[in-house]
Amino acid sequence: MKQISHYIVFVGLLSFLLLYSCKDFLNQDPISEIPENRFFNTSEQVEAGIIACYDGLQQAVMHEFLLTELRSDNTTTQLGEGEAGQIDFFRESTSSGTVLQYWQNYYNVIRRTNTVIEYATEFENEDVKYQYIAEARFIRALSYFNLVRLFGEIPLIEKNISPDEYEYFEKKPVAEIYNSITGDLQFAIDHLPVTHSAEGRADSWAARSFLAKVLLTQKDFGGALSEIEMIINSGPYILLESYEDVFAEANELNDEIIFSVQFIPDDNTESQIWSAEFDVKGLLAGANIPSESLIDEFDTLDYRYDVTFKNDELRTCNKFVASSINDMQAGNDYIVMRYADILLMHAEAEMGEGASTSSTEALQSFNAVRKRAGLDTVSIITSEDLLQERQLEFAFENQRWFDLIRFDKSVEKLSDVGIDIDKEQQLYAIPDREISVSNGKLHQNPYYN
Amino acid sequence: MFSQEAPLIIKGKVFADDQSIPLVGASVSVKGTERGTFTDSVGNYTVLCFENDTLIFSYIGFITQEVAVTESETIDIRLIHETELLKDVVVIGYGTINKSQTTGAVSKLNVSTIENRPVTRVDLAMNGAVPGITVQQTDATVGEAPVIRVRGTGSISASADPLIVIDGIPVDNTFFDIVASEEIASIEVLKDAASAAIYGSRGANGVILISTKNGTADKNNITFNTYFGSKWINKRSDLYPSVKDWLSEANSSTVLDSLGNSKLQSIELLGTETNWQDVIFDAGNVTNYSISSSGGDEKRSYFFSGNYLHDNGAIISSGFKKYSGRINIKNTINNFIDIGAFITPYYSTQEILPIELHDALRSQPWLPVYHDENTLSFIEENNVYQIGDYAHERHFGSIRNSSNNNGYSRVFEATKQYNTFKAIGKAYLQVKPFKGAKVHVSIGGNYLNKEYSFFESSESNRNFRTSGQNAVEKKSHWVNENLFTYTFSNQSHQFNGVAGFTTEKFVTDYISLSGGNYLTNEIPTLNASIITGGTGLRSVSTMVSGITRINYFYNNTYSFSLSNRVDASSKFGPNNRTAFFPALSMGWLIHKEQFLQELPVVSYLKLRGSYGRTGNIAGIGDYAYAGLVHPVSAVADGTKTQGFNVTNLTNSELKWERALEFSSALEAGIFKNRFMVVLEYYNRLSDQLLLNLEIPSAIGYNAYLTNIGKVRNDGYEIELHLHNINTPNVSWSSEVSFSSNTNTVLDLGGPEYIPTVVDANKRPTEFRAVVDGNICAYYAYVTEKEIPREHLISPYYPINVNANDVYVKDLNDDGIINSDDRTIVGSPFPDFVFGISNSVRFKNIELSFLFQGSIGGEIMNIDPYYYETHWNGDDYTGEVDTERIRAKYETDYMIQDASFLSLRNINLSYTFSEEVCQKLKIKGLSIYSSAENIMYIMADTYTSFNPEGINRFNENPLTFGYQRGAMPVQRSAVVGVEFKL
Repeated sequence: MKQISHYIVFVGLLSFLLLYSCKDFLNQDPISEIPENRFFNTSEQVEAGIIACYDGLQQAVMHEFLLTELRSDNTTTQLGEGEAGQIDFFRESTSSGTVLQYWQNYYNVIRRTNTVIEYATEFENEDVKYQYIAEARFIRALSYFNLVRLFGEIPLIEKNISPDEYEYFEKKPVAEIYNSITGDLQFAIDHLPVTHSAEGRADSWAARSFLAKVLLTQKDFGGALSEIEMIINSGPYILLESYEDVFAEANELNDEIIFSVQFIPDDNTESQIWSAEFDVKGLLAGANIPSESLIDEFDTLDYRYDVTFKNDELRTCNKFVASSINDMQAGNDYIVMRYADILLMHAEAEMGEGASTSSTEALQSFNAVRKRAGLDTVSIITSEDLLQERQLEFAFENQRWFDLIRFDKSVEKLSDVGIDIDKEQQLYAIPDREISVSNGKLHQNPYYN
Repeated sequence: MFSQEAPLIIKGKVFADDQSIPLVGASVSVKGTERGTFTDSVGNYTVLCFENDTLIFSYIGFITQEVAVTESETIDIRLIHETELLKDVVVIGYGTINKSQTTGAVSKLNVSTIENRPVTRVDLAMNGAVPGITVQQTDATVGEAPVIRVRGTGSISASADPLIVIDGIPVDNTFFDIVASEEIASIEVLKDAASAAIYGSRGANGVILISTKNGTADKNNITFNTYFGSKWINKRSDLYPSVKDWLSEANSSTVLDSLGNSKLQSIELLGTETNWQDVIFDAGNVTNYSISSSGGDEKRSYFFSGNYLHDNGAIISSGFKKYSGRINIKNTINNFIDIGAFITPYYSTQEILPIELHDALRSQPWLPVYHDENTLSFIEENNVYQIGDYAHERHFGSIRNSSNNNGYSRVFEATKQYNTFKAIGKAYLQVKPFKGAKVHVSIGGNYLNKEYSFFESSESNRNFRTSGQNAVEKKSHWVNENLFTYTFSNQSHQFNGVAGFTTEKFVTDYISLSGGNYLTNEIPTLNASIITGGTGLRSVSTMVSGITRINYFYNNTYSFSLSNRVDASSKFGPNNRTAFFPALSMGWLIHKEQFLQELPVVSYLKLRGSYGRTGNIAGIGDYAYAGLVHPVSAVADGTKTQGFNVTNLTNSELKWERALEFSSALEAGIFKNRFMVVLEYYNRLSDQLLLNLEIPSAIGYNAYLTNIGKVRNDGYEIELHLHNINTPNVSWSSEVSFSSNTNTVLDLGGPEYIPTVVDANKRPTEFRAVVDGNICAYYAYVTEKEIPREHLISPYYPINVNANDVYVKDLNDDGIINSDDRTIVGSPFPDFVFGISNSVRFKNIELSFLFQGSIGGEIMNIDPYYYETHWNGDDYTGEVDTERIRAKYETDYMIQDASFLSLRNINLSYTFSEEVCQKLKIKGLSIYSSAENIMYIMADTYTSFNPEGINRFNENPLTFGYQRGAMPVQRSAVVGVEFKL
């Protein structure tokens, strides 16, 4: 039994060794990363957090065309296969990976913006503090604007939350989402610089431009009009003389661009794949091929025709032709809003609920866009004209689906190309997965119930 | 009481039975007293006793002998091993135990089953040899590690691989092939939690212990072994019809193919025919040389070996070369101190098929590999191409269906290769401070340097795109062990205790560089490219552990084992670093009881049961508990700008995944153990799973690593060892292993299921882990009927075309087909697996063979979609109701029976008699012939090349069972010779 007691003493000794002398050995700090609780203490670090928001946007817009342009009557897929084909024909499953990915990407961007807001709020230096918060809120507004238009009622997360805060998983009414968006954009207008020192990052005019579109989407025509007039009268933007120059890769961030998500060529992390996907060379082998109806809409005299389409068999997109050496790593920027949009929105705001307008202001803006395209000017604009002009001007620019919803023409226009949909299909299904993990808080959209 | 007689002095030596090996540390005790001694380092003993005393000689693994003494004399004793099965000493981690005293589920592999087998890795030879273990070669690429599961899959986000321990160094299963079969002394598998608990936080998925040979005193051996032979793949005649057969079927069909007709006529006119299986599968060969030498004297012993293996696979552009070696040395300095060391360096090059198999094989049968005069005259752009250029479908104007390159050029004009250096080494000092005690201090570790290189030339890519990558993964692991062992035994008590502590450090580095736009196809290295990006990462983790275990064997009948391990890891936050992994197990040798003595037919009967707790940490990031800020970048002002992003939620409460397992077995032997059976039941509950819990993405992240969820694996195992015939000239023995495991998800932390979509962009398929179902199950529509060929707009073009879609059932009868009409349609887990091996010897000739099979599992095989549809199969005539059809990959059309029966190995050998060897002045000579997988029966419904092939996504247990372009089962046959000098 003596041995047993030796043994016990030994084990006791051992435990002591373990628990007390190994603490340092067991403290291992990350080497290639930094723990969050030691970051975001300086303005440089918060600025680095804003860059992360733009990084998130790059991911979020990478396959946006699948949910917007392809969904509309503008484009289709070459092979009709995979989820792209399903989305094109409104046959995607409620567990569609593409739709889920989109949802996840934008909520991830929102998390990044909330992180910046959370840490910047603790700053004392008010100059940088409000500019950082404003830039984050601009990107957050952009994200919610896309989500609310595609999914309708959605969870509204305006601060960093943890997995047990179930109350935030619930859908919020569309009006509440828009309240948040306009609040964010107003704050951004007030606190962002008129021109950002790093060109292409959000400035006050960009925020105002998006506010105009948000108001227009909410049918607040008066509100939209006053913002648009301010942009036209005092803003820094012009309509470039040549339509082609708007998209030229060498001419990016030109004076027509209001906001774009930027890319550079031939870089593993900063290049985009969608230029190739619009062609047949992408992984999806042509997932954004123009429909015959889009091609047919163009007037033979329209300058935009040759800029819009390549002269190939499928008339693939010519707007974002990559200069990159590797065509899967293109550097073309993703244009989110440009001045031509403001001009056409101007006509839309002037028209309001009416079926047409011949107001001088509306005609001036509308005809400016037409003139550049080499088309005759008009003296009256119908709602149908406006929708068509937008289709021609912004083909492949992911405006069409949002336009169809805003003009309430989605059912009609899709039916014209042989796709019959229910109006409730204007909204995507809330991804199955999200409902499954929401602890019963999130419910499916009407059509998909 | 005390005798007046003068004491007798008894001296002698204790040997093992048939050998001249002295037994060191054998117990020599005087019956009925506490007097006794142990044999010294050369087996000598001296003991004092009195007339009519009885001496008891005992040693673990040997039958105890009693000798009555009457005078002072020299008594040399040869202790006899316990019967064939039971003689084994079993390695149990930080010690050994006699097989009869084991209390947990420890399986010992019969090492002879892995000898002389033409497999590239030893673990492949374990397939079917041990019940409860599945060794699935999910990627049949030569040199690739198989997926090993011990008693099912219990982990979801953490790795479910068992821990591998090679000569005391814990490693992951990529190190398994560092040992060559001729170096192995024993392989044990710790299956239940009680046995594996001694490895604590790494034991939850079982432990495989590999011990290598050491030299033996007075025996100097040199063994030379070589084999060579060939490898091949059995082609499938049903994969594609020949051009000829297809055309004759199309021509005789009454279905009009208005669209395809002219194309078919053109194909006929072209007159070419290629069997792409002939092009891609090239019979290969395999060559192996190994030499080993062992020996020593009373003080020193050594073992060293060298091994060279070249297996160039049975598919073009694949191959494996391995060079490995080992040195084991042991030096006894004096009666108290031993030192020893081993080192085992390894280098291999592995060439891998650069694309997946279905991409290599799905070129049309009319397409030739190269252009010749005939094909050039057929195409319009005949001035662009020359004789000998690759022929691609897109060159053939109207009959083209695909814009892709031909399969051969895609394989041959690209390279994908791994160069791996690894080593394991250890040095130790062992001190025996007093009788029965041993202190063992060691330092050792393992190192991996794995270099990846990839190059795709413009001849391989349909868009003439070149790309390349070079990456290096480095892993090092250091371990220091300090163990104290105490052994005590007398007639009725045998006690063995071990206590100690270990410290470990793991360092991982990863560096990668990639480029594109190569200046030329002649230079595959990155200097000829334009660099497009790269990264460099490093992480470190540490672990400190304390080990205690007591084994107690009473009256040669009752055994008890109690152990505990405490592990502390830097991977968790300061409050959750430490965890305890206790285990208790008991065994009862019933045949030793009086009441069974009257039933002499039962020669062995044992009941054992165990309960223990183990943990799992593998596969979890080194700083998983912390929210981490990673460098990222975006473009601002037209230039790349760096930033920082938080990539995950902080979980400072993160702790160990654990497994609680009950295991119990009945072991029986009859007719002097000629027939042995082991029946075992186990029930393992894995809980507080390290689960990447799926959370609402609205939070900003999709998952949160936390300890939630429960999975149960329960099942039974049957093991039979039959010595059917055992005479000097003829013997026949059989071994059977059978196991059945049920896997059930009990809790996912809230959600009723976890959906996972594979290949969302192209051919999305859904998997679901559902509460009360399996961890991995296929979720799909159910096929109602196929779309007949005549409803295709182009029913005979291209060759082998079929409908892309099938009619599916309206499962909920709501009149419409939508996502709700999907259901669970299968899972990859088999109902049972088995192995049956037989060994028949007639004089010097021995024949052995091993059948292994798996019944009842299903596989989601996407290959048919590629081989049968060709994307032309979705244009239908008006007779097809497109509202009621779904793409085949969305349905159970892709679910196939993964059952198989394989003749894993058959081996015929001839061992020359001693007389012949003496004439040749050698110690031994045998010649053999061995073959792997020469019979491999697959289910009728299975249409590809390998029902075990899970070559994609196999690292994720939730999507295990997805097959697309898996490498085929490779078959081989070799002849070999073994010399002993």
